[in-house]
Amino acid sequence: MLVFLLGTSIIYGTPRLVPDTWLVDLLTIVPAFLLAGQYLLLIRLGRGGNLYDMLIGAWGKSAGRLLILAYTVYFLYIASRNLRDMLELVMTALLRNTPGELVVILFVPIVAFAAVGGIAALGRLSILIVLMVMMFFLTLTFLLIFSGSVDSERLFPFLSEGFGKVAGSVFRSSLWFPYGELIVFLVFRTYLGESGTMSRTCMFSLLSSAVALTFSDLLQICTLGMENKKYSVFALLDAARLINVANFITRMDALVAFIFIFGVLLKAAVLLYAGSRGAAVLFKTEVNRFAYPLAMLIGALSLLVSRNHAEHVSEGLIHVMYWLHIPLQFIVPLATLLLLWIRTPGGARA
Amino acid sequence: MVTIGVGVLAMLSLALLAFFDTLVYRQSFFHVIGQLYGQVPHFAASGWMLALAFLLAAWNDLNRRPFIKRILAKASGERRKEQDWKRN
Repeated sequence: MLVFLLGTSIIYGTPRLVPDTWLVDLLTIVPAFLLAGQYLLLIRLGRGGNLYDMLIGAWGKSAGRLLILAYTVYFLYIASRNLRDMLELVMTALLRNTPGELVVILFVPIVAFAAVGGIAALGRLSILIVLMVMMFFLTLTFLLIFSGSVDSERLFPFLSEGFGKVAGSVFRSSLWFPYGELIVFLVFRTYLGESGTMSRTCMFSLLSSAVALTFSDLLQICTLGMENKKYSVFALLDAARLINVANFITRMDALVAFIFIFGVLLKAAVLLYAGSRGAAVLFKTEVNRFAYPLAMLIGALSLLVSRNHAEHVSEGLIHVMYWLHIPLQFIVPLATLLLLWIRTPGGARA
Repeated sequence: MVTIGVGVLAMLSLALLAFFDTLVYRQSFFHVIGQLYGQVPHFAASGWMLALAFLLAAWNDLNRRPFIKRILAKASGERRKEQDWKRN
């Protein structure tokens, strides 16, 4: 969960709608806990079933299957957007002359291979990735401090646009990306242990990722300043480029690329696996038979999803938020929760 | 079933991409669809990847068929189960 939450947001950071993005990250933890609480309540009422079982149980067979189809397309779309994020980073910062298509074609089978291993393989992979991400991130922080690029004065002016805009930014964007994307874990409910264990893990991951994201934003602002951060596409990458320890340790942006690529690998694999499960439920066949074809599909979608970076960002920050994230991360789960609550007898509820 | 599933999901996903393009560029849905599908005959990588997705899906469906199983078994040098050895 922690790697999933940090995945792309550690580089992109929270959407920069206000200058005090670090405060937005810190404040988002409160509604994020409430959203996670809603999911945990859904798990409790779902009686051990996964998201797809709950949808069929609450909405009936026809409407439930339609919603499963919607969630499957949603997971594949988000996976393709994550791949596109990685592609944008590679194309703009690292391999400028390499065709993007080649990067996607080489990356997609790795994602599918990780997804075919199932949730246990993804768990083992995530342990490795979280250690690497944390190690790279701490290395970056120490190197930035040693190179003298960090200046806490750059955090000011504090709350220059008022508290209202900061609070608005929490609900308009940061809550849904990345915290709302936790809904994908409801698909793996049956593999994630008891409800109590899952609640503790979920809360711990939320808290850890909020701390990591706030720290990442603080580091970016202290290094680049609010104005530069606002207009930087990959703020952490730009911050890493400022590392210069005794004219010897320089150009550490490869570390940032590693953090990002590993994060995207895990996130895309989790979303692909969830999408494959949805497809398997809908078309009544085994999950693994869908993994490679759907991986190719998300590869194709990642190339088609937007024509340029400006469209990619505008789509993600405005339209996807209102048309996909809020309905599928909040409204449908809330309605399902209410339906399950109504359909569950009082005794069983307790 | 895998081919049908991938086909349905591909169509819906492309429709979703087209829908978001209509919101961003304020163009008509059919214009955007034309642009999206217009890339496929030009041997764009996305077209090849879509074709590969369908091929993989079709293979996943076909390799469950008995005649493909028989061909695969022959190719790998495995003894066919139904082969009846005539002992004299």
